[in-house]
Formats: sequence, C-alpha cells, structure tokens
Amino acid sequence: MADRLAGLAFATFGVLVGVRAVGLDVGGWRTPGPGFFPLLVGVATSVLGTALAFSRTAPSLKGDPLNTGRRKLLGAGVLLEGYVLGFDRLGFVPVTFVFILVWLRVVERSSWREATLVAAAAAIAMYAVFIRWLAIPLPAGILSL
Amino acid sequence: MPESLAHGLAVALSPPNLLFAVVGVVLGTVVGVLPGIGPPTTVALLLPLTYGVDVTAAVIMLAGIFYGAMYGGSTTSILVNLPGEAASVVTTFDGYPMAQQGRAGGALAIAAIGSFVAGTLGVIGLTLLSSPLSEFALRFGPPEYFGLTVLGLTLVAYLAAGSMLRGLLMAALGLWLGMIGLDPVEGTRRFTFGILELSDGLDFVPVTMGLFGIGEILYNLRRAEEMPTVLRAAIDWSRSLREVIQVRWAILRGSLVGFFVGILPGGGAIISSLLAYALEKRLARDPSRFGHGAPEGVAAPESANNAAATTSMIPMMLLGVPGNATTALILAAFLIHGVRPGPFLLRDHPGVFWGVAASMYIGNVLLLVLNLPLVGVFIRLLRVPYRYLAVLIALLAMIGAYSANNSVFDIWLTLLFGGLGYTLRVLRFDVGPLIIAFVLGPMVELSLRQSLIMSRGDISVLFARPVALAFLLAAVALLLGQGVSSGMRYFAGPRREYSP
Repeated sequence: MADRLAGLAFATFGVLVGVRAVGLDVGGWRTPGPGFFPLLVGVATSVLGTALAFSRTAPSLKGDPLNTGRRKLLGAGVLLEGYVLGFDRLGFVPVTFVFILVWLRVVERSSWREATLVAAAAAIAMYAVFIRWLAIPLPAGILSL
Repeated sequence: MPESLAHGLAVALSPPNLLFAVVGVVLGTVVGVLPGIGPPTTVALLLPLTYGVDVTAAVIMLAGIFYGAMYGGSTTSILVNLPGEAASVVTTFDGYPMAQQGRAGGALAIAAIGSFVAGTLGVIGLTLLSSPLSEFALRFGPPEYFGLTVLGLTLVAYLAAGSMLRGLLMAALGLWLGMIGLDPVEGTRRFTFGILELSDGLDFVPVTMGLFGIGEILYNLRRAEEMPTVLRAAIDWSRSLREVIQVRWAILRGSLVGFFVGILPGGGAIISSLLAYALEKRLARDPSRFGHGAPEGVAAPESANNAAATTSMIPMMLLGVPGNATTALILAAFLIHGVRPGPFLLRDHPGVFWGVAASMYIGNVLLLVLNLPLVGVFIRLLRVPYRYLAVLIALLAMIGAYSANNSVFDIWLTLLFGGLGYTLRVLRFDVGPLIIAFVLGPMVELSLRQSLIMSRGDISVLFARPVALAFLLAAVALLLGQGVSSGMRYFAGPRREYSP
C-alpha cells in the first residue's frame, strides 16, 4: 500500500512539474527553452511513479513505522521549529542551551540534572568553537554573546 | 610525474596540511565507529568549518574523513555486529562470527591491513591514471558530458540500495531540485514559488544538512534504545598476521574490484564490498564457510570499500563528476573555494591535485598506525549515549546551514529537507541518488542544451560521437537489463528476502 501511495504521489508530482514546464516555454530541439528539461523530468517522474505504484515487490513497511516513536518525533519537530523561531530573537547561546535541555528532558526523558549539565557544557563548548574560535557571526541575542 | 608527486608530498607534509590530514583520518575513523553517523553526514556537517581554510587543506581533511570512515566502520561491524557506516554492512557477515569465535583480533587486523593495502593501491592508481585520464577528459565536449552524466545517474540509481526503480525516482527528484532557481541559459525563474530567496537556487548545504543530518536523526530516534554491548578487543599479533597472509589474494582481488567500481561514476564503497564478497564466495573451494567466520569474507569487502573510497576521487577531481554522496560533498568544498574540479584541475591547480593525492598516501599510513593500537580507545566512544549525539548533530546541522549565507531561511530549508529525508528513509528510499542527481542535474541540462544548440537541433549529435554513444549505450543496457529482470520478477510473484 505504501509503495502504491508513494508511486501515485510521484506520478502526480511528475504531472504537476510537466504542466508547469509547459508554462515556462519548452522551446524546440534547435533552441530548447527553460521548460525543456523540466518537461523531460516531469514525464520521466510520472512514468516511474506509475511503475512503482503498480510494481509487485515485497512490502516496504513492516507494521506501521510512522506510528513508531510518534511522541519523540513530534517533540523533536516542535523543538526544531522552536529553535529556528528563537534563534534570531533570543540569540544563539541561550536558544542552544534551552534546545538541548528540553530535547534531552522531553524527547529522550533524561533527568533534569543530566539534561542541565549536558546542555550547559554543550552550549559553552559551542560558544567557544563557533563564536570565539571560528568567528561565525551567529546572533548575539539577549545576552550579547 | 615523479616531480609532481614530489611537489605534492611537499604540500601534503607541510605542517598545516599534515594536521588537517590527521584531524580528517581521526574524525573519519571516529565517525566510522559511531553508529548512525556516516561519512556523508560528517562531511556535510564539517563542510562549513572549511570555509576559512585553504582549499587543499579543506579537501585533505574531508577526504581523510571519507576513507577514515571506511576503516572505522569495520570495528563495530566486527565487534558488536553493528556497522558503523553503510559500506561496512557486508563485513558483519563474517567479521562478527569471527569475533564470536574469539578471533576478533584477527578480523580487525585483516580489516586494517587489507584496507591499508587497498587504499595504497588505489592511490597508486590515482597517481598513474591521473594524466592519461585528464588528457582523455580534455576531449570531452557537451555530448560526451551529457552521456557521462546520464550514465552516472543511471549507475547511481542501478546500484542504489533497494530497487533501481526507487533509485531512478530519487534521481528524478534530485534533478528537479537542481532546477529550482534561474534557468542556466536564459535566466528565467523556475519553481521558486514566488520566494525571492530561491531565485539563486537551493544551496547545497541546507539540502545535505537536512537530508543527512536532520533526516538521519529523526529516523534514528526510532532505534535510539538499541545500544551496542562493548567487547574487549585484545589482539594476538602472531595469529592475526598468519590469517592476513592466508587471505592475501582475497585482499588483492577485493582491491581490484573496489578500484574499478570506485572509479566509475555511480560505483561506490557499498557496491564494491558486495561485489567483492560475492566474488570470493564464488571462488572459494568451500563457499559454505562464508557467513560463519571465513576470513576472506572480511578481507574482500574491507579491501574493496577502501579502494573504492580512494578511486572514487578520480572521476570527481578529474572529470568533475562525483561518484557518490561523499565525493559530491567534497566537490562542493572545491566549488565553495572557487576551484572547479574537472579536466583543467591538473593544469590550473596542480598543487591542489597532487597535494590531495600525496596526502592520501600519508593518510593510509596514519590510518594503519591509528587503527591497530587505538581500537580499544575508539570502542569506548560507543559508550556515548546516542541521545547526546542526536541533539548535537541536529544543532551542528542547523548551525552549518545558517553559516553558509547567514540566513535563517536556510535553517528552515534544512528542517524541510530533514522532514523529507526522514520520510524517504521510512519509505525505504535511498537518498544517495537524490543528492548526486541534485549535483549532476545542472550539468546534465546544460550539456544537453549546449549539444542541441551547437548542432542546431540535431539530436544525433548525442549519438554520433563514439565516446558519448558508448556512455549512452551503457546506460540503456543497464536500464534494459534491470527492466527485463524486473519484468520477470513481476510475473514470478513477490520477491523473497535474500540472506547471504
């Protein structure tokens, strides 16, 4: 079922790419336009996707792996987005500390002590490596670091 | 050539470059030992750190990581049946049984010495073939490049993990991603969805950081509980050396397989190790020993994957065509530093080329020195809980993406590709063909359109030149062969699991 859905998704994607390519001006064999190569890729993707949808292979998924570790994945996803949102506003060092702390505590279920120690050590180490040593212009933020 | 190599040795032995070689091989060995982190991920994560250094030093370090990871990956494969990186999967077939029989020392010695011999042969090949290959490559025009890149895409899809159909789909997706931005000939915006930041196209760094860094982390969250059991790894040198001598021909055969497979665009360490293992099993007087602790089953794949890692640098440096995800990333390092790999690399930047080649000689010696005495030290790294590694890798991926252009947009892209990488892994798609097609795609399109423009629309230009025709016929043969076998399987019924 997963292969069928993936194949149909790719086939649909290929059609959309092809339609967009036609709108870009395909040109001709003498002077291929900006839509020429996208049209070829779109057609190829549609054909390959259709082939996958109807291919007879062993099941690609065992059980329902998308259900496996859903809590962890959700937590990780929210944290990653939160990191980006806070990155510019709060600054690299404080956001990094909070990110590691919450990740270890919420996603990995570590103790508060362990999470705090690791977060502090890692944030200090990253400040030393990226800001002081490599001089990468990361956002200074509220702590002006 | 001796003068060029001498110059290269002088470059490679300069203190800064030697330091970067040491850092690279140590990091690579550590990466290879640690499960869940592969050479492409490490090279992608460390790529931004090379922005401020000389191009030779940058490539020396990244190349050291690549072939160092081949060495390191064998250690956990043998000791705890957990391949440190993908190319070491085949080593588990016989390496772990050898460890269970109390012959871990022999297996590790075979892997280390076999890798050293294979890597050295690969560097000799790189040295001897560089000039003739470069001269041959100078005769390449747009039709030859089109044929070569199409063959490269086909081979990568053919040899990708999983079915060729899935590999081709990943390649198609990679080609599309490479088209985002401005059309290379007319400058028209394509697939930018009205987002200004996409006008320059997708930056290589966020795509790879997302697919390999974030994607792998999210995928590995599902198996973070599986931690390896650390074993002691004492070595009985006399017995181990006897076993190495017994398998000397397997080492040489594996090296040759890896050398030729690695030199082809699309050939790689994983495929060469599989082919070498299959060859030894076929040649063995008693094939039933394989899978139960046959030393040849360790010697062949380990030699092959190390030789392939070395010779895969040849098409990348001299033709500008990366053969696998890691050399695609190393090619990106060249481009970031304003050096374009290809036929003119030897002419325009001989110090870079010979410096990298010479550093690979030195790197092989360093790896042998490191791996034999320090195995016990590297094993202790397995005690670092994966939950620490995961969060640090996620951070490094986002910092690396940001540092490319100082743009938060790139971090968002990284997360987007992280989600894509996770989804593709769950659906058992190999992201390797995607990233290679992403790099090769613009070359494929440009060479095709240039060929058609220069021939005024006569498509026969792609087939009229013998080298171009040879590449395209090889690609067609691969597709047809796979198509025939897929058709036979379709009518035969669902495929059974293969067990070695």
